[in-house]
Amino acid sequence: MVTRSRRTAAEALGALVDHRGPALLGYTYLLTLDLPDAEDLLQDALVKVLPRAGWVAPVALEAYVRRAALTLFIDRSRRMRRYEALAVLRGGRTHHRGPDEFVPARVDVSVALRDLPPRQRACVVLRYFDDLPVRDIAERVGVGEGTVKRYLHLAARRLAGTFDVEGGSSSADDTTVVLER
Amino acid sequence: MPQETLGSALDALATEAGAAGRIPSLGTVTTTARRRRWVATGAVAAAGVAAAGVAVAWWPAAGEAQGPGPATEAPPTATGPLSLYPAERDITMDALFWGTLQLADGCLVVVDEYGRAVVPVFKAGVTTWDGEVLTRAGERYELGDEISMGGGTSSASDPDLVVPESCPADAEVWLAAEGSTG
Repeated sequence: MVTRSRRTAAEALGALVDHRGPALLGYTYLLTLDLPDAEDLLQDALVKVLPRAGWVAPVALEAYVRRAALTLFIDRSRRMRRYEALAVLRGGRTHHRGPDEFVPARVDVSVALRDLPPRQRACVVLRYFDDLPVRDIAERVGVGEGTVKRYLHLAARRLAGTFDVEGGSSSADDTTVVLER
Repeated sequence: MPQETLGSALDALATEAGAAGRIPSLGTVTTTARRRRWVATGAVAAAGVAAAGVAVAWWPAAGEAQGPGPATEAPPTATGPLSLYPAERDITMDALFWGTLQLADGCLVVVDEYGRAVVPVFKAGVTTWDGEVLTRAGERYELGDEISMGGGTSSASDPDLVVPESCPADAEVWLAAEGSTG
């Protein structure tokens, strides 16, 4: 018979938030590039994993939250694209910069990433921040490996002027991804 | 001067944002989770009540014959000891596991003849647990009944699964393919 050795979900998640909260928020910020959105995304990811948090080994829980955040981000960006298309038809943007908006000192990275469409940005974050191989990125983003390579190739071309590019290579091959980690 | 790599730039940006923002409190997270669960179950109950109302209005004689029903219906509780995966998900794995259906500390498990226990995860929408009987696609299983399930094991970190908190963390999870229980 199975044994009962589970922490409560709240204990598990509380410990994670205490120790890794800023790191998780940093991760969601790289995806959203907007601090309030990043805070909301992190909260939603935590809400999503709460029912199962006691199940997951402590060492895996952070990856689990990140994965939930990524899924939510991709779903949201898909919905937002449709919404913004409608907003344009109504004659206005949907987001206005407020006076308290977070402006990072690393504005160069932020601006460079902001130029990328959400899925391309997610691929860049997974590749260069999470160090994931193309196969894993494809599985998490829900696209084919060829699409991931194309996204990374396009992103590399856009970011090449700002960051280190490996020997001027423009290959999208997995083993010679153009930007150094 | 060499250019900075993208990886180190991303690290710096994430660190800066992580230090500048507000980390959601655990209290907020648990309250939001409870509220969303309640809203979700309430919406299902409301849809059911609305559908019943439409049916009665469409066929007044039936409504008169049945008499007025309860004004409100309590939202269904969570899945109890039953674990579920989303109805839109198809399980294509074709391994087989069979054993007896048991209830362990508020968690439905299937234990085979060698003592290996798995937490079966069934397809939502076609599987119910009424407190004594598991019903799946019209088939009924009571505790102690033998049950076989096509499918395969899954990662405990799969965020799509709804597994009761009463289920143990170290149990093996088995995704039961639809139509494979016998």
